Amino acid sequence: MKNAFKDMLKGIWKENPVLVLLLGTCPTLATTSSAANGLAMGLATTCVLCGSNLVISCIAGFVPKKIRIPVYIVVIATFVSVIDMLMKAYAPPAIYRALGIFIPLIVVNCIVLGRAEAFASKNSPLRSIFDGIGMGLGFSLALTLLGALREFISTGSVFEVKIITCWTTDFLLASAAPGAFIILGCILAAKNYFARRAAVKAGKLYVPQAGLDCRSCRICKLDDDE
Amino acid sequence: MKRLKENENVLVLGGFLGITALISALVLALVFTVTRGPIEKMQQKSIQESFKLLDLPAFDNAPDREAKSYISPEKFKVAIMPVRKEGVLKAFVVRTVSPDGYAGEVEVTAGFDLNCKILAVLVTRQQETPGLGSNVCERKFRKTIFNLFQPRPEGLPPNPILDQFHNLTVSANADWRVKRDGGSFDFVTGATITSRAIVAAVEQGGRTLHIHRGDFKEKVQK
Repeated sequence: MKNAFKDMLKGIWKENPVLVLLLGTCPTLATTSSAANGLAMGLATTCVLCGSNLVISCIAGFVPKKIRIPVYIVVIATFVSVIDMLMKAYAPPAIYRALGIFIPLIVVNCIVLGRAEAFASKNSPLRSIFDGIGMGLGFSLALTLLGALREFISTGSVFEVKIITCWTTDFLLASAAPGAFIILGCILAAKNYFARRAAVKAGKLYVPQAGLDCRSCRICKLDDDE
Repeated sequence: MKRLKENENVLVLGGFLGITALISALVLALVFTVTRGPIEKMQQKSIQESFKLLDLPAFDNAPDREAKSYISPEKFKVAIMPVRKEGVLKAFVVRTVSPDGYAGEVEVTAGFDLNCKILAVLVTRQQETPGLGSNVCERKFRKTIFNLFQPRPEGLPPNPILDQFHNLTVSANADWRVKRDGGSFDFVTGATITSRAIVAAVEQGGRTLHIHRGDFKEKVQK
């Protein structure tokens, strides 16, 4: 149980999918034009991630290796469609209107497939669920932060509440895609700066964590199945 | 199980993938059947909410039940719904789908009185860029830190682009294009395509109503 809790916490900070793993950058940039959109996209992804992690860790034992990626994609796409229909039926119309066009994007979200391949297919269902929750929460937090910054810089409001009331003209760069790249870059630079400063202070060399760089990710080496 | 995992026979692999797809299709079919009713109810509810915002005179029929479909002069899909009180025609609701939005179709719902004067305009379906094109389409009260805890004001939230159509008739002398194209309507810089689509939809809806309004008769019960 303690292990499971650790699985959850690492997704929120140490292995944060957006800020550390840099996975799922497309939805990160596309959906964070406001804080509310970012939060909602994050929560929807969390639901899909939990479900797909659970199912995949259950079936990973007997899925033939050669076709595991297509099978995982089918599972993920099914979950996304189910959540799309459920939201259409039961969520308040305002939320569905704001989110509706982003839901199908979750299918191609790299985090979901990445966690399926790197974690769920190798660990027990319970640990996989906790990993899904943690990764989803980390994703939601990062998206909300980026969304809030972009919304504030472009319109002077956060969660659609105007903080600076005399701000009447929108600063469109921040709410458009180039602004998303620039602000995400600034956040990443700040995070790396603080991590490095902490490492230097402790007298250590700053290297990315083991297991988090390209060397340990198998996802694009499809032909050299051992 | 272990042997299945190591298998490299194309037929076995294809069969496995087929079974997976079949199971997921069954799950989707099940969820679709369960949610079909609630989804329709939800759509009905949002239609009724949009009628409330359209500044219509008091009515007692269900306008969407009496809808008639037309094709406008520019080939837009138009649905005209008569609004009645005790069978007497009071106004029209016109729903126009413009195919030329930035990201697909833009559906505009407008209320017209019996002289084809526009009462209010709403965008009821759109997929424009959030934060840019969608700002042209949404009607929202702006909250600030000063009125955060005050109750929401009643009535139609303002939107400078959609409000400029109010009290106009299509046959009046307004030039139904955005200012960039030499017309007389304001648009949002960076969302010109969305603005154009909305102006075109309102115009086509109005023209279609002007042509076909004779199709809707009074229904007085004796």
